[in-house]
Amino acid sequence: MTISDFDKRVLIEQVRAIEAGQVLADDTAGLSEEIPAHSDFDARLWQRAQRLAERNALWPELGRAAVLSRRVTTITLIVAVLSGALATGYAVNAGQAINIYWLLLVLLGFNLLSMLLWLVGISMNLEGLIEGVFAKLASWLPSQLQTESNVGTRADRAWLTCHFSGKPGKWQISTMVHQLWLAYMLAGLTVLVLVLMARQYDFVWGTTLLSDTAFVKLTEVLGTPLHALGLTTPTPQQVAETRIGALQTLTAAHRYAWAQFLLGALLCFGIVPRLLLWCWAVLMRGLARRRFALDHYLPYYIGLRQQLLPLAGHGRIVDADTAPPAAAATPAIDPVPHQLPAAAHWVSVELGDDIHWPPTFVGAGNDLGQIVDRDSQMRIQQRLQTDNDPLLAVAVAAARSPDRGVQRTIADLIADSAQAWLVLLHSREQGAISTTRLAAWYRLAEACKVPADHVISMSVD
Amino acid sequence: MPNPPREVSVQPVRLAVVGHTNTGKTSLIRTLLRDDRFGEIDDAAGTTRHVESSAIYAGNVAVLNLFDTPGFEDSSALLQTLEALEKTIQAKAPAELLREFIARAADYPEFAQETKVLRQALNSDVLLYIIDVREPLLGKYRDEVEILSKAGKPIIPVFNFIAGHSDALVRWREQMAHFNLHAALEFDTVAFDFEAEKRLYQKLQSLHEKRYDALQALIDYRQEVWENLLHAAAQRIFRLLAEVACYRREVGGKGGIADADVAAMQDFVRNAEQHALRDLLAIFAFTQLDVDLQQLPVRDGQWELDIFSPRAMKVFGLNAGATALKGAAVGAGIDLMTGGLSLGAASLLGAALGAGWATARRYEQELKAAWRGNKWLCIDDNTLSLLYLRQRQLLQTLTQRGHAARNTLQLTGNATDHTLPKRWSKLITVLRQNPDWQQAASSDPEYQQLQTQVVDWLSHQEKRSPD
Repeated sequence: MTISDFDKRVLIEQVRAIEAGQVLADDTAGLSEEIPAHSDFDARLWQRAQRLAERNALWPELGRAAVLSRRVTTITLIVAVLSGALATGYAVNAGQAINIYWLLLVLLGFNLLSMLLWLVGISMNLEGLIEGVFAKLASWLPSQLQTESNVGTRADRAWLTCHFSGKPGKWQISTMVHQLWLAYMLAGLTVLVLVLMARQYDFVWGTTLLSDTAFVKLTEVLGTPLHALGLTTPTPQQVAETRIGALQTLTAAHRYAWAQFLLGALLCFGIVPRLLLWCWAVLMRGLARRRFALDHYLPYYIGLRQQLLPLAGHGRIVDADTAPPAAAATPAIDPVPHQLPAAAHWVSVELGDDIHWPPTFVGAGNDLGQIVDRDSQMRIQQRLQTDNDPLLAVAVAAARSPDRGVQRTIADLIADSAQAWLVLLHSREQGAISTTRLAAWYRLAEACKVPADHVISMSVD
Repeated sequence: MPNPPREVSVQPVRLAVVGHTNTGKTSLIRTLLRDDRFGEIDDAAGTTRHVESSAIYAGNVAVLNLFDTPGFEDSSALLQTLEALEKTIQAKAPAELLREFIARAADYPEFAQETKVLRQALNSDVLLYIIDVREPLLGKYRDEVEILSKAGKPIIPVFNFIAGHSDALVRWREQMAHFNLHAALEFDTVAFDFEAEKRLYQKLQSLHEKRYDALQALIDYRQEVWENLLHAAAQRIFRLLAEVACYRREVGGKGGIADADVAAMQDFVRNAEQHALRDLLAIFAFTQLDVDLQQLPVRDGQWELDIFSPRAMKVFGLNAGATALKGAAVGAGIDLMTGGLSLGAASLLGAALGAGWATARRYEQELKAAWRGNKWLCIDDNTLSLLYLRQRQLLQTLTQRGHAARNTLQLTGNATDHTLPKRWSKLITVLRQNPDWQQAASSDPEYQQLQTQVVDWLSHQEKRSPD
């Protein structure tokens, strides 16, 4: 049996209601392989709902409301059939003479009134009315269903909300109402045909307030469509003759015409319109159910979308790191302010814009310049080579993160120096330097063979 | 909600994300993937030491393949080595030189990371060169671009960390122009906005005519997903408003309002707001780390400032003096004027027909309370306004951020406007008249209409808010 999209969505909503109350055993990770690549979000939700129902043994709870609703429908239909049959039986049991218009009123009057109310409701789009009716119906539900909150009741409530609210609910209730009236009238018609076959009735009518001609006219008007259908209807004279007390004995022609009129009126003004309305309601219910959409904007669905229909795949390493793991972190020692020999030459490496070069404590004669690119490095390197075993202070910005290029540059610079210092410059506006950053500079000093006590800190402010 | 476009899958565009070490390559990829578990991020050189790939989908179709690469660390020496190599092998094309270098990678163990970058660059369609604009214009960066340009692939410079560094951005733009790289992109992984992401895809479109449609599908898909998130969040905020505005509590008519009633009501509001906060953070996939980074006034999933504290009112420019009842107001009772009008003519007719169950139900309890001489306690206007303004500001913050940004940035200034929408008071009046809507969203057209209105306010706010 194929399951309709509506039923699938109802089931998804039921699972949502259950999940609102408790966490279900879920393995969405394994789900992605099961789902066909080109399925949309709803299809994925359906797969997931099925899987959850399977794993958590939820099927009995999920199906309960539908079974219950089928039972209730069957019972109300039986009640409708019984009451239709009983009402008709009671109306024709009064005696040998049947008041024809009274019988019509019993069979059609209330039906007509309810049809009218329903038409007004539908044409005015009174969803509040429908919902109100539903709310009233719901308040008759077993109190356990209303107050208790377990897997079963949550699933049931979700099922009821999907079926009986909004547009699908409007047409579901309409369908049910038409169905009940149809059952009522068909039962009435059957009983009527049976008793009319087995027993002989005289049809009469009477009025206290209205004039006799009004009934003649009414019969004529009501008879027009029946006549068109080829049924025999009473002639004006026959109508006049059936007035209570007009004739002593009515002929078989009278009885036959009135019986045909009665059955025809029941069919034409009761059953056929209801049948048409029922068909319409069923069609509209189908349409509303087809249009029934999950509210994907609910946080629940937003979360599931990210899981079931991710925007991106998981990361996959395509070119792994083959280098040996980095050496253990060198503990950072707080660099202390330090006095450098006055003869030391200064060179700065990639200071950046935050620190002005040269700072006040570097004399113009000792300033070899800044390294910002290959050319400046080459120039300074050449100048250093002219000096024999110079004392060298390499200034860097403590706040900047050292990379391999900086390390190589510094190593190249101090290769020929007698003594070298690594000066970590910082300005007050940069704030405190993080310990990981300091540790990185110490690692660099170690790699360049600058002793730890030659790593000194200086403020440029 | 968008469903995946059903089209024949084509080879995804291969996009190598390259740049100096510690410029935010992995952060950018995380933002594009909306996945803060991708790769590893740290404020130090050489955090990423391998090449990692991940696909970006438009529904079911992989449109982009992103490759995260290790950062360049010593481009100057690498360029020198390449120049020396070029003299010995006399390569005809620059790409050939790179291939030759990669073939001899074993001879240059110091460039193991750079070799990975070059190998990936040669195997990609487009290179995204990430620049931290806060950096000075150093020679090593020029060397990087020169090396990368040898791969013969289109390069799109991407300026990162641009917020508050407009001068630096101008300097970097000029620098890139020297290399004929004019089609640069501003994409801040901290102060991320969706428009920047869209421009990236559009640049790719112009570079890759053949994949134009697939990239357009990606743009459309992401646009829809993004708008859906906004819509979902706005709808959740409306739900919170409805929950709180529709709340009513019957209290004894004599001897004023008990403290216990007010406390219960306040707890209800706090709980409702906390649930909404949890949902909103979840909608935008905000982790605790994101909350900290964005400096949201949120701690352990709760607002730091209690909604009933006078300071919370003041922050949003509301008058704290008016809340004599600490957020509680006595309900107006049956208000046939607004209630009736809000119901609409159709329902009035229904009620007149004697069949308006819903209408009757709406007033049933109220009538009972009036009969018993009791009053209704509901949430006062100020609290509702504060609730709305707070959620609006939260939404604004949630929509402007990058995934996994390391550098915190103050995004929520106090300069945001605190004006309520024009038809605010009407909205509140209608909500208060419909206690039925407190439990769950309704399919009532009127409820739906109000929801649309609030979603409209909030998404409109988002669209015009400054980035």
